[in-house]
Amino acid sequence: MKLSGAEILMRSLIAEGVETIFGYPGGAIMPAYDALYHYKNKLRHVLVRHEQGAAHAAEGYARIAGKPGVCIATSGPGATNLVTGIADAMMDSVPIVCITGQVAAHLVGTDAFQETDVIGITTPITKWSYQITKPQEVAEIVNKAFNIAKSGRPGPVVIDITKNAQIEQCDFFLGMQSPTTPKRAPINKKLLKQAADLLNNAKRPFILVGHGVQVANAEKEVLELALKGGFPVATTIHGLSSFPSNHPLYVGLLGMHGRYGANVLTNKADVILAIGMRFDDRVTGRVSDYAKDANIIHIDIDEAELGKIIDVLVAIRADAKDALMQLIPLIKKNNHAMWVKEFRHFDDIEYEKVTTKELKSESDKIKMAQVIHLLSDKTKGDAVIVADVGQHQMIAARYYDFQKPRSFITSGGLGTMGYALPASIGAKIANPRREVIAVIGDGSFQMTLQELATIHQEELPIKIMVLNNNFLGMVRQWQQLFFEKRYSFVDLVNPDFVQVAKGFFIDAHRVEKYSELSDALDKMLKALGPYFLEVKVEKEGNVFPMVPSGAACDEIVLE
Amino acid sequence: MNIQTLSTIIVLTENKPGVLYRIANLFLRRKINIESLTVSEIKAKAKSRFTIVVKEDPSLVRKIANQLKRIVEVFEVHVHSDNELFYKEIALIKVGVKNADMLKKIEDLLYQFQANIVYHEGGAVTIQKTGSEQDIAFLQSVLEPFGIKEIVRSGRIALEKGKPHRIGAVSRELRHMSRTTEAIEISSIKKLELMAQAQKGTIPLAQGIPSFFTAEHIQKAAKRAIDTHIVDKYSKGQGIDELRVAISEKLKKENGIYVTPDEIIVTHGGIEALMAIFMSLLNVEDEIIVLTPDYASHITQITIATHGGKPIFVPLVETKSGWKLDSTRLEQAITPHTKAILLCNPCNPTGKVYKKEELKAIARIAKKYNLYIITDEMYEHFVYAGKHISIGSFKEAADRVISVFGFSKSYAMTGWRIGYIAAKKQLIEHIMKIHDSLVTCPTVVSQYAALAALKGPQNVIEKYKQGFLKRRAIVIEELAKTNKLSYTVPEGAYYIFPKFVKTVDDVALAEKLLKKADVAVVPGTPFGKGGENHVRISFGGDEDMLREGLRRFVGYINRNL
Repeated sequence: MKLSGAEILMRSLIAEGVETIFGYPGGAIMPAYDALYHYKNKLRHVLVRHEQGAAHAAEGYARIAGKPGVCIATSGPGATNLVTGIADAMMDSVPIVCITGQVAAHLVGTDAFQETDVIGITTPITKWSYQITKPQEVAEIVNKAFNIAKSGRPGPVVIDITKNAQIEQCDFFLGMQSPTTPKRAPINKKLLKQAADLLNNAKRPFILVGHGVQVANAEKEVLELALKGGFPVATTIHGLSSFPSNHPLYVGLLGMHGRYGANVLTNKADVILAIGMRFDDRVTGRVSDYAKDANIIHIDIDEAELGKIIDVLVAIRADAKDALMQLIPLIKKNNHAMWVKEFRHFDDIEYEKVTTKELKSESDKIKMAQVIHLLSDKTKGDAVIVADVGQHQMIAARYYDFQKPRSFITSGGLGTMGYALPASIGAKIANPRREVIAVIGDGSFQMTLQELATIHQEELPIKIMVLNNNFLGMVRQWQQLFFEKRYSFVDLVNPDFVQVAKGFFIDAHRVEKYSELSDALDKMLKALGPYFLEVKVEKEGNVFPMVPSGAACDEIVLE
Repeated sequence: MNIQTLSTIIVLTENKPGVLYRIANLFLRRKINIESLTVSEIKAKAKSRFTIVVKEDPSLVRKIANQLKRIVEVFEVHVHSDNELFYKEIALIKVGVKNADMLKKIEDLLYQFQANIVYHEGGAVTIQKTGSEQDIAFLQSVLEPFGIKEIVRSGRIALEKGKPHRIGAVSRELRHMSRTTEAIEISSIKKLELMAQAQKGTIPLAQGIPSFFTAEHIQKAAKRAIDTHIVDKYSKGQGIDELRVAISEKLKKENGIYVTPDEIIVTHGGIEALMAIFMSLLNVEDEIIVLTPDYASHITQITIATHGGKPIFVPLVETKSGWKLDSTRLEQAITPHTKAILLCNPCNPTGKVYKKEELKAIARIAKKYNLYIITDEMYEHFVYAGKHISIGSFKEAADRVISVFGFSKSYAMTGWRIGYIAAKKQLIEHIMKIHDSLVTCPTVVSQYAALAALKGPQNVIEKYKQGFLKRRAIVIEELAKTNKLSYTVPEGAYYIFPKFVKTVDDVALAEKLLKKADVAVVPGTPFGKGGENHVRISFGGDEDMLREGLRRFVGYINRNL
């Protein structure tokens, strides 16, 4: 049977289990869109309003669905608009497959209209990229792309397809694709034994959970390990929701705006087990003073992460689930009640110095923490929170009590403002049964707010909450603390967000008084369709605790 | 501070477009310069093999290697240090050739460097050299005076060495030498020498060869010895009896050293004498203190004898009135491993003549810590102020002193290669074992020449000495024309060791002097601690040449420092 490259592309995507594509058509990708027209019953296409939105939506989709998200764009500007999303996916290890159109093969390299060197641009920010110039390559390359995106440490791949490769026909047989399950290397038993000995003999053991736990679906194993050994557990920002937030062994978020105890006691621990995390500088603070007293065991699927930042004693290259399943039987039943209590001691201090202040209302002004805290109560910690980047992100991470895995999505590594609104689209489509709430700052919102149109067009019942302090709040906080209050270009004269949302035909409301907050949230949560809520918050609220930039993690300050 | 070392990264990849870009990008992100990069297809499954050489902190290189493994097209990554590899590169060098004489010179050089001419066109030859980066750089530097028109290098290719203990994993490479030997760098003196030879019109103020001829009565005695067939067979290993009797008398009369003929070994020049002493004396863990600046070959010899060990340098203190021994410093350098103290008196390169008090101090310290004293007194006859004193003449030290003398300088006999060792019998017995292994016996004809030198008229020595005195005056006169140097007038030997007022890289400066000013001098650094920032100038050569050489030297430093 002879098929065009474009049609082979569609069939190949279906063969990979793709159901949804986020995209935006244009010249060089039109043959693919023409084929998509004929497959629209099998492949749902979500028309975003900017290609960056497509990439972020694919990321949101991938993180909730646990399988690669797919986005598609045309050549030139279409492809370059994807770049931010691709870089974001690379940093946060999110499997997405980006398909870009390209000018016909004979025009490549001639500076043709809407031609750009997509492979050249995206090479440093992709796991893999390939330019298809013949229809014969399509099936094999699509298959390879998906395998690469989801295997090992997941990440973005780019397939650039020239226009002629979409149009030209070739023979196509079903079954050309080979859905291969990636091989997993056996784990070094000696290292596991060494890790278990260290943990069994530890006086002050500490488990750090990263994104790798969620990627490997190893949440249950982490819980089992913690319970068996009596180990306290902290998470990175992407590890949030992989461990129940109200569990007695949970000691909180690590890093710059993490929990007081978790940061201070990192430097008191004698054995640290880090699972699927990469010792980002936002987690470690000053590396030279990080966990000096601890023997560190590091489990990660990416060999390049082992020893990259921190010298570790035991480095185990493995999938988190595989490693934990083999480690748990070697762990002796134990409890470290006194050690865990030390964390609680710091929690008490933090509660007194920070939390009570943040949650108490002195006037009728709303504080960001109050919004998230109340939201957490009302949703019983059950919603998917999609946070953008800034103060509201840290507040959401700190004050929402996550109960279920895969409940917190944010741009952690790249810190991409404008991430949340499009990512929430992908998240909602990946799991329509879950409540998806996008928590966004007023600055971030204006970077991708055109995606409100997508939400309306697709009738996605997403709850959008903009915490508006008329500031680029996080930058302002740094200027206040480290630049002697020189507020250099951080105040925002904003549009009427409610009117803007209404202009996109989205039900929209505003709340300005604490006394009205509860009702406003109730109303939002009851809404059946898309809903926009602008919350006017205190202008100069700060996020604490904070490890100042360049300080050690135990030099965390509370005010 | 990061220690940057050379690492070779071998990467096996799919042979596909774009792989190079992904690999190169990782180095770009870390701002690491790639020293050399070669890529070639290898047969197995159309793979590519990358050989990447970087100079970086090894721990960073390991991290990059791990990141290289992330690249989908990459199969294997191996990181190696040089000693784990066989590596080579090829250089093609085009050199201008004006005439047959020049070609002959180049061919001679290439023979020494194991390089070939692969193409000869009108006015130029293309030379191919295969070897390590250092080999190529070395050849390049000696070819430079001929005028290099073009040079291209392939970049490194490398294979991992197999495990050495396995049968079959045998190095078939002839050039592969012992670790100690390979670690010895070709001395900068040797390098400059080769460069000076290649360069026409260079004035050599580097090597310590006196310009005088050997005296006629010595020549005649040697000829007579040949004619009467007394030189045809080995002599006694220790040297012919008559010569050792004559030496023993000379030592008694001139040096105050009382040894019997049995306590003397005639050697193949001073250099053999010293090598035999070091080898018979030193274990791997032993330390020997060298008073520096000191003759560079001593340092190399000690390194060889201790299988890579390094001498302990105790620098003399450079003062306005000359180089002085600091006996406290000497005593502080002594450890339980210290076995001997080495001095060169009169000293090459500084021209220092040790004072009686200094020698007494050395003898006292040696006795206190039970150390040997090795003394190289090659220049004993060329002392221009005061008197030469042999430390072997001190009764309190006589048991522990091993003295080395020679005929090369005193009688203008550098080519005859005769020197001798004087020490107590129990030491001589052991040194003989090494001496026997090295030379069996010293060249017999030369021994007869040496005998004639000792028996014949001694006024030749005085004649040479007067000659050197005159030349020393020329040196002082010429060096007065610059204020870029400070120096003390040498009391002995025929070297001056001036110091640059400004801090300079003496090795680089000596190369520049050779290339730009056509004068060869020796940089001070190879003479050990205290030698830095100096150059050694020999005034052994004839007067006109000396004057012109100094004029060039002074002119260059006046212009450029």
